[in-house]
Amino acid sequence: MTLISRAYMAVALAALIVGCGGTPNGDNVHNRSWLSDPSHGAVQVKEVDGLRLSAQFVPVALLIEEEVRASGGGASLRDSLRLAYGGSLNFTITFQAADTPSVPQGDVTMRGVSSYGAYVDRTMALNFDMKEQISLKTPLGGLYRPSLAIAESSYGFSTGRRLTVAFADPEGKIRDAASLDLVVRDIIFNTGIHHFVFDGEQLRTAATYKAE
Amino acid sequence: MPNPDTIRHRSLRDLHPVVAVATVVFAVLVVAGVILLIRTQPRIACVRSQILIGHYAGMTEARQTFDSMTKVWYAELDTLKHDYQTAYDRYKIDYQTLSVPDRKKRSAELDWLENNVQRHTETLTQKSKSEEAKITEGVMRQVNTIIEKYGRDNDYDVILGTTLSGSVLYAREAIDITDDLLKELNSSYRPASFTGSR
Repeated sequence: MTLISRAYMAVALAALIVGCGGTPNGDNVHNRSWLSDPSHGAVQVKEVDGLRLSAQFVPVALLIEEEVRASGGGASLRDSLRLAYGGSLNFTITFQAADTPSVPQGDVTMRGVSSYGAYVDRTMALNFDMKEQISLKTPLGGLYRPSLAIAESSYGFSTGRRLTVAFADPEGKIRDAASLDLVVRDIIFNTGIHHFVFDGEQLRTAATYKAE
Repeated sequence: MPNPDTIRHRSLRDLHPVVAVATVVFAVLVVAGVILLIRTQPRIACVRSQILIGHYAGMTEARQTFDSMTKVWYAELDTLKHDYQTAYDRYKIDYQTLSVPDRKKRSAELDWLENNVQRHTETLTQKSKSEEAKITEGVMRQVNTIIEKYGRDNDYDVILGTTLSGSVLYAREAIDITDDLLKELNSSYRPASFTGSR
């Protein structure tokens, strides 16, 4: 191996290490995966009865960029989203099967459902009733309800369902808390009440994401 | 009398090679046999189900949620009962002054109000039962999932639950894992890290 190719390999390796393990950068996909790494403290997972429920903190900038890209919108959409989400604390709650089945399965909402009526009930609950079942608690006794809850019908090729919840935090009381307890009562699959506890410091680090 | 200096302790190396090999093989077989014996013995543990469920933080919170829900429902029912009682009291006061057709009309109104209270009470009882069952089911799903994981992680073959109906009559304290399991359940329900503030 020549000296040049060795130097090239070293630079490439360094770039890979910086790219994979460093702080969040402007790439949306990269940032989602950075946030999905449990060691960064932005995602909490619970598994009950073969169902995986996860709650992921999503920085406002990332949420806006994803929304803009998904809808193909431009600067005006970005501005209106900034207005809508500005000063809020956002989480995505995902429901999906805990195991990857060998045979592809359908929408997780159909899990254990025996009639069309029951499926419709679940979908309605996901879209309209879940907002009432979610709250955010701070150690000093603060209790916050989401100001917005939007259910996505599907994302990518996944069979899971995702719910994005936004908590208005104009005074920064939630952001400054030492820890946050996101409480979710699962009325879709009836797996009980779930507490997703986040460390405040780790969330503040994750929030430093800067969109490109 | 042999000279003590010439006495040598006999070691494995001094044995005939065949005897030495046979001794080693025998020892290995004995150890393997003991391990096999231990492994084939099913690892069994017992859990006091009532204690486990009763002290599980998930159950406590679910009960609180259920209680605050029913409180709202019963407050609505109390309003209906109060409406009926007020109408009844007023009817009693007005009775002497009312004409026969007015009495009939007011009486019919009272019947409707009374039926309404009855209907709501029945609906509420059913709703309450169904919601309680749903809430308990959710908690049991969490408990069963953790027990299953605990059993797998700790290499148990069977975990028995002692219930009031009495399927297990006696279990040695050593195999009672209720406290350990409860600790596991509560720590996975809400981590202790939710404390302090900046």
